[in-house]
Amino acid sequence: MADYSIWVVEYARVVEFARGILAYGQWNTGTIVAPYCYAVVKGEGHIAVIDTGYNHVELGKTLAEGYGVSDWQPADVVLKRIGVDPADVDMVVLTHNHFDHAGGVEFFPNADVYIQEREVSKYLWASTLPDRLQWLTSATDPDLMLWLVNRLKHGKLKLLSGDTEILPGVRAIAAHDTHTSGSQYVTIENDRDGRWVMAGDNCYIYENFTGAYGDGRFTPIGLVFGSVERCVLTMEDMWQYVSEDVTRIVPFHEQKIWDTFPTRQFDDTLHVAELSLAAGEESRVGGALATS
Amino acid sequence: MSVAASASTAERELSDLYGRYKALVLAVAAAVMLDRPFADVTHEAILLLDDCRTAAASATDFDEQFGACTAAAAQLSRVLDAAGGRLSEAQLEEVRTSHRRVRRDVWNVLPCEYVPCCARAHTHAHR
Repeated sequence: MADYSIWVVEYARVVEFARGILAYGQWNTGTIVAPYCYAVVKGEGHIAVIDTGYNHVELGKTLAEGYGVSDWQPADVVLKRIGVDPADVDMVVLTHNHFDHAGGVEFFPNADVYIQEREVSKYLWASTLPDRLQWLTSATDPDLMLWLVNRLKHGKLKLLSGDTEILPGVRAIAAHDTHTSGSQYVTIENDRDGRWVMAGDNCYIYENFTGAYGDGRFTPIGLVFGSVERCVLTMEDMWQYVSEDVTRIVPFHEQKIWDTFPTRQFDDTLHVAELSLAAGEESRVGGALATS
Repeated sequence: MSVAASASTAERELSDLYGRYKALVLAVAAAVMLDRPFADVTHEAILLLDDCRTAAASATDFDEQFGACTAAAAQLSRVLDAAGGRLSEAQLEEVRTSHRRVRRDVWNVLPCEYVPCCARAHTHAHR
């Protein structure tokens, strides 16, 4: 157990994100705003980011334009809002290797990068498959993998084999064969305010837990490279970990975060939510809820 | 409608070659990270290079793209052969540069293969 500050920073958004991607089976039900976020965890002498966003050049720019991503800002801009310099970040935990989560590794040159080994090894396996099966690899790009190799060459890549405590009270929990082959999520056990889950894309929005029809029946995400069954059971693990309090689970594409926690909206319209403040830390958001 | 039904033969061939190249680069990166041998990948890169050369020689469309695939496959094959099982940072950077070039050329004529492209309604400006 330890004492951590936790912020969720928005670095871009998709204004018209199809609900059918965010919640399984919700086709033809329109679009909603989906923020692109990552989390910052500070305490015990460390600054960790959980996911990294992406860099809006080359690969990132092309994919972002395809997705309809807008309002992108780099890590130095969004982290400055909470008084963090990317160069001071010493841990990066990648929930999975998709561009909007892992495409910003280069922003954090001094960080050790933690990813599940399975998220890497599956690409070796997939390369042996015929082209007609390469959909399995079509949500990543060699650039993302080569950034990780670069970290390896500098002794800063940590391949995890299953659940691992990475800081006191902070654990990377394997969620294999869910959204991706080697997904993981992060649990935080804070002395002062209890348990949190940084979900990555193991859920996209609260509705995945509260149900597409508000009936409390889990509705998993709509983009699964592994097994939908594993997705639902992983959601149950997260749900039980936080004693069935959905606000303790943090999806990185949920706009309701801004109405749930003290939040500040900046001039570029992006948000920062303050989930937890360690002893001695000053609020970065003034304690106010956003009006957005 | 399937890609097979909607894409031209040249588009399919280009997509196939680029897909094989991309899969090989992913595999090389994974092998390096996992400290595994990449002899199989080296062999596949040679086969890919042969196929790229054949396609480039007979192509009536997408000359530039088939040429880029051939150059990238040749570069990958050469680097893997020279690496002797262990890639240097300079060699990795060569692979990165080469991959970016062929990706850019291919995306000039084929839709980005990333999924879920079309998370919202849009047109592919680069088509």
